[in-house]
Amino acid sequence: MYFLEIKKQHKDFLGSIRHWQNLKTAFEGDAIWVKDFLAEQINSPEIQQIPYKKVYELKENLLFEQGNLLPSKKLPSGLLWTPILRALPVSLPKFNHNFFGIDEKLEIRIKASEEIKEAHALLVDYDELKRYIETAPKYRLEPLQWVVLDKSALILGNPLLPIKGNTYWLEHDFLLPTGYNFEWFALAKKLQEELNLSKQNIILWNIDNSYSVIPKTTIKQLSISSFRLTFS
Amino acid sequence: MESTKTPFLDTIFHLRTIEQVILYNKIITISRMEETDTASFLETEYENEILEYPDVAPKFNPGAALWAARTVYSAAQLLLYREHKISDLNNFLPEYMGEIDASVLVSADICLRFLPQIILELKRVDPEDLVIPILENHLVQFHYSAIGYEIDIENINFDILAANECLKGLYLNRIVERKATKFAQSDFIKKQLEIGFGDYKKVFWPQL
Repeated sequence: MYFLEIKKQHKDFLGSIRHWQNLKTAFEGDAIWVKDFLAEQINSPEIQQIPYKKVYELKENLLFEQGNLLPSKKLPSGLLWTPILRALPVSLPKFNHNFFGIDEKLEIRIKASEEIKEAHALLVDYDELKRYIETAPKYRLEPLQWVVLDKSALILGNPLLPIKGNTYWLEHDFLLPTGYNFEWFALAKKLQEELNLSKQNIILWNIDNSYSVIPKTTIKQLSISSFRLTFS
Repeated sequence: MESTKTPFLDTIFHLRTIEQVILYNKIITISRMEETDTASFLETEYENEILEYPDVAPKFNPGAALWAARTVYSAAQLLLYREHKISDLNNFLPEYMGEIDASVLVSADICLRFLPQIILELKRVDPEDLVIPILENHLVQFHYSAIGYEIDIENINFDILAANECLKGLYLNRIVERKATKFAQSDFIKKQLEIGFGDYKKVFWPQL
């Protein structure tokens, strides 16, 4: 069982191991104690990088400094252990009152993404859809909805139909081409609030960064009769 | 109950619109006039339904539709008012005369799809009832209407499905909708179902 001791004035160096949630810390006078290291953690570079620290091993209630054969001291009694995340809270840097870049604007772009997600929508040509849907089994159409865009049809739902077309991901009511995400994807929620506050639309993004707004009320249940009545 | 001049037509109309059987009298004879009206009503119903049918729907067969309507009507009559001799039963519930093809199966189904429920009701009243084997025999011939219902499927000939794409599609849809495992045992049907499911068998019918 290993213990780490460091002076209070050097506590910032513990930042590099703060994310190990198994650790517990305790304060004693001028010192900070850390315990509950895993075997692989105690010899890791993160620990070795910390200056001014002392690493002890506890044997028979005595603390042996790492590598030493003689004990250095006893573990102080009555320590109050708390999880390291709670014991060392993070404080944000002070607000910068001299920052004047607030007029800057971000251009919203989409770019290739490494994520793996299931497609939620399929944009298909009318002819392709006609060839499949006229003989489609009912159970394949039941979970799907659709809306007509010019000469193609956008099909939403899962599982999608086995036909050729462009697929899209759904996130915050945005349909993004599969394989793409917003360049500033953390702002997706904010962007949805700007473009589509009441969530009554679905917004379809094209690879050239343009988008089309599709009101949700125009999206209908997909069925053979719905298809035939639309295109007859 | 209020009287009506066209009990047969009204019963079939209610069956098709609110899916309930309402009988107005005990008369089983049906006038020629009423038959014509019923046939044209069933044809309108058929026209509405084929919008949803896959591929090219077969032509409406008024004879088969009318036969099915009469069979369901008589079965319901026999369920409520039993004043007939056993020997008369075959006259009330005649077999379908003529060749059975896709058009006949689909047209008859407009009314015949309600027959299994009537048979279940008959079985509840008297499982030994002699009407039941007659009706079940009809269902074996018109097996598209019997999907999901407990009948002997060994005598069913699935070749008729391969001949017509529309009937095949409808048949498979109904098997999946009613999760009729028994009907999905045949190799031909199994193969066709797999084509339809693609990669998503687990989504559509995990128990199969």
